[in-house]
Amino acid sequence: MRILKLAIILIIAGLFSFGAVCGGKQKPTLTPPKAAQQPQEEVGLEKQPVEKIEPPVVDEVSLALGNIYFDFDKSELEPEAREMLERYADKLRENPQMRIRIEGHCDDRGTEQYNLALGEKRAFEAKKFLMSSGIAGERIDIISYGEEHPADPGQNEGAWAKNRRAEFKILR
Amino acid sequence: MISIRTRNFAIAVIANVATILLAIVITGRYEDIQAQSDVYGVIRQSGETVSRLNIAVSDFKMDRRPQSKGEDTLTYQLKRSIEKGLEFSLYFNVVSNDSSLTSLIGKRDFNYDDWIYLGAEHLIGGTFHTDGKQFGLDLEISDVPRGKVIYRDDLKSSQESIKELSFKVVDRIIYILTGEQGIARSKIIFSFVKGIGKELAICNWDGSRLITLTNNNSLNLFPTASPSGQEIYFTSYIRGNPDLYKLDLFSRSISPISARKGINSSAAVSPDGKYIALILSVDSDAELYLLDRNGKMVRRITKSWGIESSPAFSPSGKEIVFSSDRSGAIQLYITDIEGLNQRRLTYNGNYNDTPSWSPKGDLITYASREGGRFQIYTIPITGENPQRLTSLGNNQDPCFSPDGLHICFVSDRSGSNEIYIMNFDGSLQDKISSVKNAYNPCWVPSSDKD
Repeated sequence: MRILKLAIILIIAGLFSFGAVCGGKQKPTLTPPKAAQQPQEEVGLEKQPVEKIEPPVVDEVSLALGNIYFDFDKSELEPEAREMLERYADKLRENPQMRIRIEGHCDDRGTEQYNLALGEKRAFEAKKFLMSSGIAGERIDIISYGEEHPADPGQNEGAWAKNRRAEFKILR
Repeated sequence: MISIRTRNFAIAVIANVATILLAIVITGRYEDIQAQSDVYGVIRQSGETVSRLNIAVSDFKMDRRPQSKGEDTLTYQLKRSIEKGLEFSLYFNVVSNDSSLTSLIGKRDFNYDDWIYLGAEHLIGGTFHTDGKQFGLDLEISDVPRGKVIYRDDLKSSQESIKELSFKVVDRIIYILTGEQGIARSKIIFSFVKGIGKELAICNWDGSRLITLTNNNSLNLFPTASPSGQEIYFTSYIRGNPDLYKLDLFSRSISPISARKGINSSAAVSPDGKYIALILSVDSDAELYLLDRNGKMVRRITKSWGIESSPAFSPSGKEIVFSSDRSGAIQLYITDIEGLNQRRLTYNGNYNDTPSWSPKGDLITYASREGGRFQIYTIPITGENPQRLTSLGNNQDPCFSPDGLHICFVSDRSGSNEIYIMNFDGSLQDKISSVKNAYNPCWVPSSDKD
């Protein structure tokens, strides 16, 4: 079944590329090499991955309490972050059905590779704190976006401080 | 799948053997070729600059009278493109025939004595031909002092592309005269910001023929090529979590490889293509793991306090260089793939990450943060005397070319993050692509071998 689907997609893609090459203006016997490359490049741009991968089904709402923030290159929880996490723990206790996701973020002054791991460590530190406050671990998902989704794209201390954060979302 | 692979391999082996035999039969100087190859190996490994062969490219003949003005310039474009590729390879010094000699000898064609006078040791000549579908060159390589053609083959491009034909010719010349695999047909893959996400794109080493590979409005990060040059492994959020996927460059199909809980990040493929080094956080914080090529767990390699990141294999496939903040600062370490014999490589600075191991084995390139900006360094695997290669702007994500003579990287020196290449010693730093907000460039070996 999957092979059949794949074959159909490939045939359609093939027809499209055939159309793209033949549909253009009739070429003279020789064209400059740049122009000759053009149709092929366009086919490349249009070509989609054959296997369609479903997007995640996550219905998320930001919790109104606010983010927690971290020091440069650090994942340790500051006193302000602990206070905020206490409030999240209260909220989760008041709503025993509620599940949340903690998203870890970094400023962009490190490498993307390291920051992906650092963002996760930040989210994990927050999760650990909530668990130590009696919230079941199964109710808390974590994910890292590294430095990929800055809250403020600016390149200054104020922006960087806003980006070193964990955000809290309700999962439904 | 395996049978196709085996068949392709068999064809490649037969083609290689045939080429070598042809070279022996035509040239009768197989030993010379081998000797030169050894010389380059020795010179490169001692870290010295490669000594270049003096080579000249003569004007190509055409198999018939040009039919149009555009056609007339094709042979000249081919000559220029081959000369550029030969210079870039670092194996050759291109001797020009646009010299005062032309006025001395008048209108007659150059002969071998003229090329000797100009200092050329080897001469590239041949006849250009086209059938309206593809371009071809009946290539001739001459030994100038001996005054004879030592190699001849008819090479064709798969389409009407002078550039593609010239890349094929350059790689063949390099193989015949040095015994090395050239990188003229290699490509560079990278991610770039598009809309709310980052997509993957691939281009030739000189930035030409740019093709977007993904279009899923997600984050597609850290592409890395298999040694065959046919598969790309990368991290993507297509299904929400940062998972590892494989993209087949031929079919463009994408399949999941590792979707473990937590991050599945910054993959590296072993030189034999059998293993993947990957950063996972499935058991604790980010640690280094070894998977097979299909994503099946082989073993956990590191068990440290702190974050491990950015693995890269040694050319032998027996060792991996990676970064770790276990000392309190981010430094590079080398481990064998069993997880034993871990040793620290870098001691300068406090943020050294994204290493790439030279295919020649002797050097590792990486990015080091100093004064809030990253610069690219190389360090011998013995750990002594790291060399800084960049100074302008912020320079990150270095990756060695398959021949170990070049490095691609990103730099924001002209405003936005763009892809650059340079020689392994930091010379000739050139922007190759005008794609803005580009990241994570990685060299992709050519799937065609000479």
